Amino acid sequence: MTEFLNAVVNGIGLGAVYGLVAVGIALLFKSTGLLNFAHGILMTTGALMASAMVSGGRSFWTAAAIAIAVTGLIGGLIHLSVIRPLATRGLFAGVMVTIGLSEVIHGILSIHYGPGQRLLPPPIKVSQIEVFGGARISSTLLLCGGVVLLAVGALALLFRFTLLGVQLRGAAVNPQLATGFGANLAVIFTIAWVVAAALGATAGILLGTLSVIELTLGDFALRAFTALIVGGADSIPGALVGGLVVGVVELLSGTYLGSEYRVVATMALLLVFLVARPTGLFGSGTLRRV
Amino acid sequence: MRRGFRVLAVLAALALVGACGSDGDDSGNGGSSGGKAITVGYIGDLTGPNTGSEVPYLNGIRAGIAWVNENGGVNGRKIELQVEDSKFDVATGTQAFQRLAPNKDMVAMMGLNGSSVIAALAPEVDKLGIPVVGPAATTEPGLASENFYNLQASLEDQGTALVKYLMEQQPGAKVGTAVINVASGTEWEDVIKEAVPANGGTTTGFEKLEPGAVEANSQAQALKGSDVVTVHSNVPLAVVLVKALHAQGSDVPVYASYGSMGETLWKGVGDVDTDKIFGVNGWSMYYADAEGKADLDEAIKLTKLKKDDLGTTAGFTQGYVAARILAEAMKDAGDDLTRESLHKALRRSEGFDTYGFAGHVDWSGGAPHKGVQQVRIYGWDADKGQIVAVTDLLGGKG
Repeated sequence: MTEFLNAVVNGIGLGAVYGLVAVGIALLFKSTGLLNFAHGILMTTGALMASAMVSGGRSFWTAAAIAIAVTGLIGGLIHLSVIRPLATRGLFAGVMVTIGLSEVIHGILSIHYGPGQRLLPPPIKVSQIEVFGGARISSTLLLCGGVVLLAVGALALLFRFTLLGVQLRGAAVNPQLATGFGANLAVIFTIAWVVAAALGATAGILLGTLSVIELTLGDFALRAFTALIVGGADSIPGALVGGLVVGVVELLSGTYLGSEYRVVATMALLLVFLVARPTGLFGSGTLRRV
Repeated sequence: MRRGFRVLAVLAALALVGACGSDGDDSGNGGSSGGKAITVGYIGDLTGPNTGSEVPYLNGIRAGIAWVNENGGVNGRKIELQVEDSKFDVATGTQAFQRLAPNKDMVAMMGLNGSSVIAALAPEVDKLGIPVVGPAATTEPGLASENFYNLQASLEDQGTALVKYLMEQQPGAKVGTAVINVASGTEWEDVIKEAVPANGGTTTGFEKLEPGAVEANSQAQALKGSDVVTVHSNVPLAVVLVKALHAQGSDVPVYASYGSMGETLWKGVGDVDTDKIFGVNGWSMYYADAEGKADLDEAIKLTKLKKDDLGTTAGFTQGYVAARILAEAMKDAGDDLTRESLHKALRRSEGFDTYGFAGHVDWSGGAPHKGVQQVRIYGWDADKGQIVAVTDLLGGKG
């Protein structure tokens, strides 16, 4: 029983990080209709910035806050300079541009930070914490779960209780109508990019505390696409739930079937959803095949 | 006006990426030429996922060539290195090879790293008879080709030497193993499966680590009953595993193969007792107290390399010695330096010295041209913040 609880608790911790990455992707997809393949490199950008600043003597929290803010700003600038001008050229052009952007930013990071590995020591002592029923989780994974809860909670409050949140939701459902009610779509979409990039940086920083930061850190985003499909690509709460499901499935399969089945099980889950429920657990059902 | 704003926004975004916490620096030396230079090709990952280990390896080669050119060259001729980027991708590596291969003046190649790239290009290398000196890792495709001259100890030699050593430290130990889920991981598993019972121990389990994983909870749980754990992966995965073992309350010694033996392995594990983490490698770090250290330091000065350019693994040293060995063989080949005469020189009976950074290299027996067959066990000197040898050279499988 303890083994099972261990897998579930740690799966939730890992799944929360998957979920945070997926939420960033879902936010843009829901509000702009664009699947952002540059999300991973924005994660790497935030992590590298924070690591460099911590190496330079800044505290973890200050470095993280600056890195998240600057990465958010980069997201906004990307929208204004590259994505917005292509808004009328269809989804395919937008997706291709995000792939190209990813390569460009990768190149800049490689030149600026060099190819080596970097560390981002967690702000807390790495230890083992008993949560319930004998289940244990590492303090860093627990911290990740807490930060994800805070980030997603703040996002939920923004959506529910602010004018901006209402406009974002309105623009996602019916852009023309939202414009008619005074929403400035250019500003709204720019803000969506800022928030998504900031969420990406947050996820990157959390991953950096768990492992080692390399230029390939953003590849983690590809795995979070499974969470996006499971939760429903246009559902922000769904993305988080999808992340939790994927994390728990991964850990349970690793514990009971063997570590070589962790990825196999999550890919099987992806296939099941794509075939049986392509809109995911919470998707709106309005997705179309392109 | 609008276009101007967009350009400004792009520039601002690029500037922001670079603005925070800059501490990188790039310097290098492509080798100088004087008279008729000798052309050597290099294919490796300069911008892909494996740059962390391959760029320092290339920097080592550049430093070795700079030292040779500065100290009389090869029979009076300078060496010129032509570098191509493979991006750790077979298709890109093949295109790079096609750009280099038509040059008949290119007498040798270096690099060609990555087992997939080697497997794809070995038939072409064999067709043209190009000597390839020192891929960063010794892999099965590299051992299968008579034109590849390997330098790193094979996994078989590393694993065999490691198991013999750890069984001396902990007789009858129960050994758990975690490997990266790629072909070389299976190779390491097979070595451990054979070596552990042969040396009086038992194996407790073999766990897979997926590339890019950020936690290894289930693997650590499965390995919990072990007295000692071996790991063959890249550095980040080894760090994740050690942290996971620690979080599970397991404080057993962990021995990492050369792929995960980098400074980050010790620096990145936080509160874990670094005295219980060891590495096995055929090659020493650039700061090792080896007989050839003065020359290596001179080479670093010549190429104006900074500390970051030397990397955190033994790759820089290996690249430097690879270039020195190649130059020595070229000298032996004499004025009639061709691919054929170079092959003959590389297979000379006395083998090659590695200036104290590794064991002896001997390719005289013909293919497969194995790398060094002796390894050292390494640990961490916390005061110096350096990887240090804890044993002399240990024999591998042989």
